[in-house]
Amino acid sequence: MNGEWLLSLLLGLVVKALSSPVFLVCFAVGIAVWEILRRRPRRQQGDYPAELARAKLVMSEQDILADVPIPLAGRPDEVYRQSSGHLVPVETKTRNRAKVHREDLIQLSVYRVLLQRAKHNGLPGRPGRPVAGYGFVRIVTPSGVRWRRVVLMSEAEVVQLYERRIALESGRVCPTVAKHPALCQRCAYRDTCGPGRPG
Amino acid sequence: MNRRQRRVSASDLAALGRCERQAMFRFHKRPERVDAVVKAARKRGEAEHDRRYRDVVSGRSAPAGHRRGPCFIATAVYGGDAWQTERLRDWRDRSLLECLWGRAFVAVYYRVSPPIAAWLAHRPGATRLVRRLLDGLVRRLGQGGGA
Repeated sequence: MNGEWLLSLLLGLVVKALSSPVFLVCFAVGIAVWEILRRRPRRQQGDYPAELARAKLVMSEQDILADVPIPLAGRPDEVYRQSSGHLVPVETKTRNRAKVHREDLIQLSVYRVLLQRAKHNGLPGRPGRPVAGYGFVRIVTPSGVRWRRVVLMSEAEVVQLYERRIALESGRVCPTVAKHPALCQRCAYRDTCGPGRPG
Repeated sequence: MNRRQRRVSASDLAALGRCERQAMFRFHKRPERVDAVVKAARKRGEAEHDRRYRDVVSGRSAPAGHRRGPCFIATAVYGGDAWQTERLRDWRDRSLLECLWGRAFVAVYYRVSPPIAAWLAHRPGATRLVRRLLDGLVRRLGQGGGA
């Protein structure tokens, strides 16, 4: 009996409170504040390598073109400027293991040439601007994010690769196959790829 | 530059590091047979890419040296270090943040602009259009002595 009386009293109070404009306004403000605090972006400063700890982001997902020494194009994921003025390219990859591949090294090395040689593209300074001799591959693995420092190829090596690519496209040289048979297992062209596969 | 030389992208050159034969199949547009595992991995990679882009342009992920607040759409259009972006940041810091309505505008802008910036990243046509609009604003700010 007492329980029923208490319940009806509580329900009465709730209905009275809900019908009060002051309560409704306070409730709405409370929800809005909670939502803003919940969604407030938090800076994650700890997950950067020491070389980038004091660097500033200068470019993200922006096309860069250069015509000298060879016509190249690229879109680095991120480019940071260190306090010394050197630019450092960063490329993000999603993988099961935090392993750097040769293709990452080539991609970052091309970005290095582009950053050095591009005429403007929103980059600070003029062509010939300083670019670090290394870049970073930021690898997102199931166990977390790993940063891998990669010493980059020289401009001459990038030019050599470019010439190799042009020779392959024109059919002057035959393409080689992947060194590791594991790469062939999930290759989208494994049905059309002829003999010469490793393994 | 030799006129006969073709522009090659960083990813096209990088593909040689994986498998030259695969790179040439792709270059000659041979039909692909992509299995479900690879498709899922590509999708995961693209999602992570977009998430990372939103995080860096919004300042959610930044080294300690990146102290100044971001100007998302301007960063997507001009680049983070461009003088136009700097001018818009100055306008935000010196004019907008000085009054209540300006602060409210900046708060709303910070909510809605990261997805717009991420959307612009993959649409050069829309980026050009926004750039033209922002150019007008930047010019006016310059004429006003501003900021």
